[in-house]
Amino acid sequence: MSTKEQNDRVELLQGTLDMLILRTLLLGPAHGHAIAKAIEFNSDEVLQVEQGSLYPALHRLIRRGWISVEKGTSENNRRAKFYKLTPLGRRQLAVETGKWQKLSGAIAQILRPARQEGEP
Amino acid sequence: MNRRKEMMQDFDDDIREHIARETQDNIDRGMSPEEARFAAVRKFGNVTQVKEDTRGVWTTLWLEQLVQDIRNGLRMLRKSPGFAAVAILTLALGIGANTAIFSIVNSVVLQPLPYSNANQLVVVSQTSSRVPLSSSIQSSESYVNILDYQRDAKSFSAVAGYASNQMTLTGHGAPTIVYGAITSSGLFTTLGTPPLLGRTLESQDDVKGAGLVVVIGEGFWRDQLGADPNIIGKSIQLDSEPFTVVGVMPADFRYPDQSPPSEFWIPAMQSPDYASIIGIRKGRFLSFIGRLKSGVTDAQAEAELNSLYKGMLKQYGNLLDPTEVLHVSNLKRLVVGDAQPVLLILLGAVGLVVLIACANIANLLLARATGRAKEIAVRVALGAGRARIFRQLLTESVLLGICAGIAGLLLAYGGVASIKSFAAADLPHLRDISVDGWVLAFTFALSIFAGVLFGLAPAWQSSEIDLNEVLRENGRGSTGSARRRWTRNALVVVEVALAMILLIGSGLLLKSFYLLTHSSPGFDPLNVLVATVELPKAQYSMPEQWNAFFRQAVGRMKNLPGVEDAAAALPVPFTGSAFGYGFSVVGAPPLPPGQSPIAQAHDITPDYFRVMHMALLRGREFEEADTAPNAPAIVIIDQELARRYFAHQDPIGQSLQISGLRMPYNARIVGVVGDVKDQTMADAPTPMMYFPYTQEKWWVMVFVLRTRGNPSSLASALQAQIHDMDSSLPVQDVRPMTSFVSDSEGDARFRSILLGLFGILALVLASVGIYSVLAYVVAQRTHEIGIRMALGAQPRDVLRLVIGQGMRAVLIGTAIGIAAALAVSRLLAQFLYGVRDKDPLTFIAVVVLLMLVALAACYIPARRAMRIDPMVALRYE
Repeated sequence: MSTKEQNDRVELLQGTLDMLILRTLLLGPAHGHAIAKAIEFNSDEVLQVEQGSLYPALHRLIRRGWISVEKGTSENNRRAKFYKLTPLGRRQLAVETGKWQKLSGAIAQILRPARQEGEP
Repeated sequence: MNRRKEMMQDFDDDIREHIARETQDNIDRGMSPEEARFAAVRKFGNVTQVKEDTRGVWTTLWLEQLVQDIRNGLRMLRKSPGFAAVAILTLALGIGANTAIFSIVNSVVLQPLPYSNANQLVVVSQTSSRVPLSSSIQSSESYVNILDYQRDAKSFSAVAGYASNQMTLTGHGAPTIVYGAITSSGLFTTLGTPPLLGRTLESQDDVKGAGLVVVIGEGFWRDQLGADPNIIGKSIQLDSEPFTVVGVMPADFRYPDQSPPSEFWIPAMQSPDYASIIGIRKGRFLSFIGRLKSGVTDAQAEAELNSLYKGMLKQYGNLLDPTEVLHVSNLKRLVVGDAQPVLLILLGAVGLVVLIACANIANLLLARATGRAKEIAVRVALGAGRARIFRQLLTESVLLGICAGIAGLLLAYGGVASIKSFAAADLPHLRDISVDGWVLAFTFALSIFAGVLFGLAPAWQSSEIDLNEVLRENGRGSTGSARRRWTRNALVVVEVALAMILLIGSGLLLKSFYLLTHSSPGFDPLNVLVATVELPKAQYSMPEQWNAFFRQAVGRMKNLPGVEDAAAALPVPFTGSAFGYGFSVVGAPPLPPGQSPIAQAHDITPDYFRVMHMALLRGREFEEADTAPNAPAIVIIDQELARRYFAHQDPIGQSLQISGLRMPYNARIVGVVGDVKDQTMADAPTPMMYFPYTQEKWWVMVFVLRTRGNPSSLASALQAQIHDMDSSLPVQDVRPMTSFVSDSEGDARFRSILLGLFGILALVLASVGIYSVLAYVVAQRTHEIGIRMALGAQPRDVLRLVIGQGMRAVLIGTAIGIAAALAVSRLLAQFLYGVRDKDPLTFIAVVVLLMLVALAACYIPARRAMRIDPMVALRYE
């Protein structure tokens, strides 16, 4: 993984990348390149996917049974593989998102300035 | 592994496609094509590395999954320790018993002979229409005949004649008896075992006048001679003769395989005991073995020997039996022969136990599978493949199997040790039995197989779960699908049927063992002490000396305090030896030559019948007067001989013509005594003749002392008396008569105890099976039963409902079991004594027992069902 442009991009932890891939596929099946693009786009280019690390991650997810592969033709009629979410992956995403929200919630809780007295 | 191949296929295309798209994106952003491509490749990173990483994802897939499955499996087992303990213990019992029996089969049946190319070894035996076949009269060959066969027979690469022999070793501490054989030099070539030290016997040793040489066994060399490394060439005193040790044989060479083991081999020609008969055609006392040339069949060798024998008949007509036929039989088959059927039956029995154990565990797993249906349904709904689930469940079962295999192996070690101490010495090579690598492999194969076997049905059913059904049932799989209920009932039926077969088998054996041990041997073995004394030929060369010695010795024994009466005889029943003489009834129509029957001969001192508590039916016993030097020849016969040959006349006063090794002579019958069992309690009555010991002179006799108390307490007094007469005489086999008798029952006891154990095991397992199925069913039907009771069903209706359900399967199983047992029990026929293999009493007793146990197993869950509180049951939603 590389960091670029004054650290305004965040390195992706393995687990996070997995979750992002699942999130992306929630919208529908996609090609590997499209997934990478979507992750970058959706995070306002903050998250930079080292594109090489995408493929081991995809295969890892296939192995866990969270996504599956479909062979199809892309818009320009070339053979391509599409990755799509399985029901198991959907459930995993729910679990992971829950965890993530709990965690970020907890962090937010800690970081929140203490309430002033008299405030509702 | 193949998944990896499949997933990595076209991977290069994927990467190419990916980079092409990235390049296109960059071009769209306004880069030049070259720059765009460069940027895309850079962004993608090291292609080889990516490929490697991606492939790595798949590398350890199956291993990881296995680890995961095993972890899951262990977790499942930990979560239900009760189930795990029952399952593992059940199966361990089965596997343990099976391994123990297999160890024995392995040593006894599969690898019985420690000689190279043991399949070429054959035993030559003879039958003749003159000799009624009887196990206790061994057919044997004369030394000169064997030498002729050795010279002329082309089918054999080597032949040998040998006879068991015992000698007294002196000069190394107290005089000790050593057991071994006199043999022609061919024995070592035939068996092909190289010596440990020195050389084996050679043909030049086996001629009259050659120096006295001996080959000794490793045990003899270690125990008696302190493993002297320079033993070769030294001389040892055997029967007071100096024999030069020329070789030492390794411990696993112990032919003839006897008990106690053979520890010396001397050339037949040098044997002092047999010197008088070694060179004559009629001196038939040697066992005859040989090694076939490779490619020669038993039948070919047999044909050749018989044609050679025809030639010998022409040459030595009157010295040989014209009706004799030679038989060649494979040594291995012979050695294994007696033990094989017993062991195979035990193996079958133990196989049944394992099957019952498996059925039990399948039942347990099935019950659990129903409980886990929801968990599995959820996993299926979430996309877990059927194969994956199947594999996980199977892993759990195999894990159980392996745990049980380990526990079973420990049990097997204990089992083999106790079987060794149990079984009679008749099991060949019993002392070699151990749980070895093969058996280990067998156990693990068995446990894996069992794991798969009992894992299969539940795993299959679970992975086939009908999602809708389970989810609709709110995860409380009621009584399961009809098919699953059917499977469970079928398992109960199978268990009951298998247990039935085993119980009937063990019932029959136990009953016959009871009859055997409670039948009378024809004499009273209680409070009788037995001891054997053999007079060395060197100091006691004349028959008069033998008679004088034994007369005096018996007289001394009679006067011992604690001794009621004493006598001596040869042979004494149950001590293992027997010999037969031909005889014919004087005055009866002459039989064709060579057709004279044979009866077992016993040479006894006058009070023998009184000491043994044998019944004198007619006439008189022997008296002192009958042992005078020129007393007329007389004989006492047993009831069986009288029944066969004097059916219509009084035998007393008639005469028999006796043909032993000596010239035929006539003996007048003076008495008839009751039949006695000769070697085992199962023996049928055989014709026997009793002679005064002075008439058929022997240098060896067996003392029998009728004692007032425990016979063993007189052993030292008896030995003291003998040593008082001659301090160099060893006294052998000083034992109570009862120990000889119980030794002879050893095999029968071993069989019945083992099979009885298996039967009990089967009963316990089957009842646990019935109980667990019913307990499960009751738990499943709690709700339904609650409703019935709320609607007015009485507890006894509930009882009937539950017991009815259980007993239906039991009854079907019993019916099948009886039918199967009728077929199977025929295999036991040869081991039964006084019981028919279709003994109705045994069948009825077993059915009743099984029914009672099954009822008890049904009753406990039924009681629980009766106590169901309808309110609780209905609220339990």
